[in-house]
Amino acid sequence: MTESIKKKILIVDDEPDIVETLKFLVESEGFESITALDGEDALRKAKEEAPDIVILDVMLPKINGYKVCRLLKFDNKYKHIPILMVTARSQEEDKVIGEETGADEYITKPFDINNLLEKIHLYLKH
Amino acid sequence: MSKILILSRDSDINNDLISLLSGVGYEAISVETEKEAVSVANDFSPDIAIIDTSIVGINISNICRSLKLQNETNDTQIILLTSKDSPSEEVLVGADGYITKPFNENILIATVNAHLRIKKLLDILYTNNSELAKSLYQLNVLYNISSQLAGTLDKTKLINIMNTGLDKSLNSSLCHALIMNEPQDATLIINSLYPITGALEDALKLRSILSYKSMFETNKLPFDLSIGNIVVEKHIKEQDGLFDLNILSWDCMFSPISTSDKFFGTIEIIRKNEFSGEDSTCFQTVVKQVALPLESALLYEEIQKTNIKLEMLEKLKSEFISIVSHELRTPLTSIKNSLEMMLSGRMGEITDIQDNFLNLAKRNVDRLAGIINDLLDLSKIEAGKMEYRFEPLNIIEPVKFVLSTFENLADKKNIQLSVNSMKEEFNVYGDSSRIEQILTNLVSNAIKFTPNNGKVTVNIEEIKPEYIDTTLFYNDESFKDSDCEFDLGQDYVKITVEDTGIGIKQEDIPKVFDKFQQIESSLSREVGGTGLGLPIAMQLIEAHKGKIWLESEFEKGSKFSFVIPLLRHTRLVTIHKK
Repeated sequence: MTESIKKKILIVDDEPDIVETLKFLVESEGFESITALDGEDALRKAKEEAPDIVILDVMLPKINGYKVCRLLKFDNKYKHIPILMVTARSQEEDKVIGEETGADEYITKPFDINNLLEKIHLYLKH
Repeated sequence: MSKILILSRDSDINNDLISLLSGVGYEAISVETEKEAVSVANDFSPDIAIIDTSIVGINISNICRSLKLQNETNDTQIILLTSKDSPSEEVLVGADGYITKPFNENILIATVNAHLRIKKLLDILYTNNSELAKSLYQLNVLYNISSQLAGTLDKTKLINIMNTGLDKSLNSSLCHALIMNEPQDATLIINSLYPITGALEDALKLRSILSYKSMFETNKLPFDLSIGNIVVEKHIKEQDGLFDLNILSWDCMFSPISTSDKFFGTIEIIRKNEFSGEDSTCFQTVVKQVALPLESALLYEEIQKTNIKLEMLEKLKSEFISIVSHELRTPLTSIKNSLEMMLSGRMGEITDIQDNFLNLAKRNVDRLAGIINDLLDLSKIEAGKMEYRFEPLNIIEPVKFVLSTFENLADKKNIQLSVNSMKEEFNVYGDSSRIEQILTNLVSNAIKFTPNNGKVTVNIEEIKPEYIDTTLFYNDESFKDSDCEFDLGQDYVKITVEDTGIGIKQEDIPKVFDKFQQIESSLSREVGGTGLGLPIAMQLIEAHKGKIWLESEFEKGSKFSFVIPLLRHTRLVTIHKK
């Protein structure tokens, strides 16, 4: 039974187009997906649905991605969930902030879908 | 007329002396007691006091001291009228001259005359001394003012220093300065010893505006000022008095505050005592001294305003960059991902023609993303906001990594891609991601411009600065800020990317490192790019204290070389210690 349970991926981005693309991508890879368009929703879904991995955009309404990440990573109940941070920024300082918030991986937009899938598979293996 | 005071109990002597001295044209009066002598002398301020020592009970040294200590008589010449048997220790104290009784009239007059001459000389000396002291004081004040003026660029402070300086050096009763502010109003700063009446305040306003207008006669006024636009600022020193319109009849001095090309205002000082020539010089000097720093202050103000504007522009620019960064990349991400997913076959089979066009679209999206990245990088470098993570690293690693990413592309064109290195380790102090960026640029260009079946070779070697040919450097005047002086004790690593491509014409070589200089050739247009890659690479290399240059032969191939200082052993050790 446990074998057949699909891995669950939480996709968070304020751009519906990106959410839709990523949703299609991960579902076509055989994962289950949950989506959120803002930080508050993301935090709630991360806690309620216990996803296996989170793809998290930085620029989000209500609560920004860094904060969402920090709130999850500093909570013993959720800190095991891998977080892939996605942002349009590529400045080093942002990368530093990203690392301090405890994100597992940092991906810059526009990202390569194969690269992203590779990362997802890598973290789900752990 | 010279004045002589006579003190004697003997009225005969008194009368004799008065008639004798009046006879030769002096004003003489006589008193009989010591007490009387001191008080009369205070009013009369005699040039000479003749004291008869034969008065019973008189203390000669006491009266001499009293006279010498009294302000009005402190330089009065004292002549004692002594008798042969006077005790000498008593009479030798405090007096300036002696005549023995009975006196010879001619000797007495001669003695008096001699002492009068001494008195006159003393007076002159005293006046000179006090003038000297005053000048010295004024000089001191001037010196103080000038050092204070040099210490500030604040307009209000400058005016205050000027006013305090004038007050100290000239001891004026009232000083009013009309200071122009932009564009049409002015402040009248009144520094007064005592409070002033309303009528005087209005009069001062009118007086200063009239003086201001009369200065320019028929010429155009630098500031169009009306009396309603003058704000008064008063500083009163003491409260126990009052100035009214009468002070306008006192002595005054007026001056514009201006340099040869800037006008700041006018100033007038008023004093009951007349101003001397030196006072006037002092006044002019102070006012002139303040004008120059005022001009600097004005320029400083303008610079500050410009700076604020520039800061705003800079902020706008970085906001714009952030918008470009986010708003352009986000839609690009969606387009790129959609294309990639269609190409991956996840959405069903696609025909060869569809595949072809989807690839075309994807290539162009990648190109667009590349252009955005280049523009962002260049604007960051130019704003000095490019951030580097410098650390000791072996430059071979980024070189090998970059070459591995180009293997596929090289294979497709059947280009032989190889690397030759003298050693396995070249330690530099650098940012590995920036070094990758530099190499990616050079290698991708080399592959891009090399026709099928060509060769791209990367050489890595150590080089001493004296063997670097600095004449090959790109030396556009606008890029002169980076000096190409090499430290002779420093060894460098030289990396060369050589291709068998189309090459670059000699006259086009300087253009490759210039922003937006696309070489006019059909082939280069076919392969695209912003033309920003090499200028960015050059700036990144210069940030690593290195240099890049190009040697090329048209239609044979190009050779891009750059050098970066090698880490010295000592430096590596200190870094490891940390």
